Amino acid sequence: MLNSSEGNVRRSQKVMNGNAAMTTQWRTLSSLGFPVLIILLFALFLLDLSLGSVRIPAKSIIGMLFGREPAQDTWLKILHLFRLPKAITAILAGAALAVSGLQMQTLFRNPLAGPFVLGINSGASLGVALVILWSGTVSQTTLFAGLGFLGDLGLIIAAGLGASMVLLFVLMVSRRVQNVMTLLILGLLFGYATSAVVSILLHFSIAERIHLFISWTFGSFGGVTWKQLKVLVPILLLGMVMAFISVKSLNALLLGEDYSRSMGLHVKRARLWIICTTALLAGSVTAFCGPIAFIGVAIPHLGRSLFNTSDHRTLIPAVVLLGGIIAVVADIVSGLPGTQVVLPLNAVTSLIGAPVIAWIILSRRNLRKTFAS
Amino acid sequence: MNENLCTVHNLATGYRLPRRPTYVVTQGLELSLASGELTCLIGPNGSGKSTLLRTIAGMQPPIEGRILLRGKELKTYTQRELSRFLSVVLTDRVDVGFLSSYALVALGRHPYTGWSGRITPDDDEIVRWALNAVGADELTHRYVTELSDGERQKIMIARALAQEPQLMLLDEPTAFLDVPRRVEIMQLLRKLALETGKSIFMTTHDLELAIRSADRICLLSMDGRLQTGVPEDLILRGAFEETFHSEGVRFDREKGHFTITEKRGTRIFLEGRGIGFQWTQRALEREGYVVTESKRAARAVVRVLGGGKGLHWKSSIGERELTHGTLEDVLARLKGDL
Repeated sequence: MLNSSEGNVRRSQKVMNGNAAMTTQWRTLSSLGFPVLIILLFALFLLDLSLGSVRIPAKSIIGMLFGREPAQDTWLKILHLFRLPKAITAILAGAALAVSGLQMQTLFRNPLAGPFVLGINSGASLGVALVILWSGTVSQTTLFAGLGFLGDLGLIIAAGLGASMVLLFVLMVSRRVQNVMTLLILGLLFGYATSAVVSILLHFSIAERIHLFISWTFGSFGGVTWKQLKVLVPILLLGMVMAFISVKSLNALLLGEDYSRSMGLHVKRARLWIICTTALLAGSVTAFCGPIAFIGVAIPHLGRSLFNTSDHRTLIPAVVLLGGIIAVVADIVSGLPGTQVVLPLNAVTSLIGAPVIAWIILSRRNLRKTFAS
Repeated sequence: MNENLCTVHNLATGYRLPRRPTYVVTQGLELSLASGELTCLIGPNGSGKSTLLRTIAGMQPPIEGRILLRGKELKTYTQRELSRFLSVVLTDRVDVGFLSSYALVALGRHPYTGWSGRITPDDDEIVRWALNAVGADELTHRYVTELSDGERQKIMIARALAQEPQLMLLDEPTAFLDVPRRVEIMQLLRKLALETGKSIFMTTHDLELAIRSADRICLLSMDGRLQTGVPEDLILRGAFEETFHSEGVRFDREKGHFTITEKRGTRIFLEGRGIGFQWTQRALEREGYVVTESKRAARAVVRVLGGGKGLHWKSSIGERELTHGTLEDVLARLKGDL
């Protein structure tokens, strides 16, 4: 549906290039994109609830969501305990990562930037590595015994603390540096340093703990409980509201910092706001779901490509929807419907998502315009 | 009467560096910019033109001295006030991605729009006026990335206009453009200054064009001296020679441009009239010959004959005289026989 309407856009652009009528038509078509995306997101959300090791018919799902009794009692349990929180987490996490990726790409004016360029995931992974690999005082039995709720909570706190430490560091530096590129390079160097520390910790650790750490780095939407969602949802919604508030600054920053300043933008304040928003969104997603790769970098490109604009007033809602959609698809695929096997989430996002999005972007042939030099 | 919009008094520009002595580019500058005037800042590379422009724009702090905008200190302006008073066109090439020319110009409304940057019908009217003023109506819906350098420069000027400033500062707006485009941009800026009453201040390396179009020229020399005046006054005063004095280049006061001088060149007596004569002289000078007025001192004589399509040349060295159809032939012969 989306593809065909986008195809029309392209054709009409060719026919009426440079014509005033084109813009009006283009606008109506591109605003059509949003309802299509919303319907798609909802359909995939239902599909995600319905598919899994046990298949629940979509009809019963809708019935249960409206409080009706299902045909089998176990279905309600599966839906309530596992699939519903997982699907909600997937949508929100995908949207959050996509928004923060978009912000970073605009702030650094770099197509390869993503939510983690500031080293937020490095900080989180260092925190988690310290807890899992280095906590020598915790005996093995308590570690695995506590792996239920408390163990997860420990990891979340460790990852959150790690990400916050990095954020503090970045904020301190960003107040001093004139050029935002310095931040990018520092983030990169910080990433190398933390991964070095993590690899030393890995080297001296035992196999079980290493396995535990590695499986955290795979990423998962499934580990989040309702209780945790009560924390995660408000944080992510706050972050997204903050991102919406920054649209004007982001648009000005498209022209670079000098021009933005000349147009009255308080660049350092805007930079601070954007970094805090990104840290809030990407940091909390990483704390709760692990370091989820790919979505944050690729979705902004997909959004620009499909909507043919760099205007953040369109792009931010677009990447929220697209991020949610792609994350839900990845969640469905990683669950391998009909089997008991669960694939690592990061493997799925990259393996399946990358070619699909590469194909869309290449077939639309307009990526090069985005950051043309 | 033109209003004085910007006064610079005893200004020193430069860079304050942490843990190092302050790097001063120029000091003791006096300057004033009036409404309705196009002022060109000219000077050799590295004389501090851009630094001065950026300092007036509030993009870097002055080392010393005062900048008054409409009689009020620059540093007392808030960023928003300043963005409503002056706008800039910089040398940075902007890569805005998927933005139409309209959307880019609309970004110039930033100081006036609300939190989301939404364009109201009033803003829309100003954006369209700005696009029309730079003659870019037909570019409105094109993506900026598809534009040529000249078209893009027009859009950047339109963006600066949409900011509704009283003072516009442009850093080398004619660089990278071909000659017709340069003339077009200069005429455009002059017209804008005259018709909208804005003060336009720009740096340029295009001397001849500046002399022809600017209401006022500021000459910044390597030693940091700033001379201001009507172009013709500066020429008569010999200010250009002073500013650009360097080996092998001479400012021709009569024609208002630089010529390449080679003092030890062979002397040639040139005879003829009109445009043929003028370009023959240029060709000879470019090759390093000195065109003299006395036939005695010359080692060769070149005569420009005919006109229009029948233009041809005769060159004589000693007794031998040859006829040539092109200047290329003339130069080849001189090179071969002298």
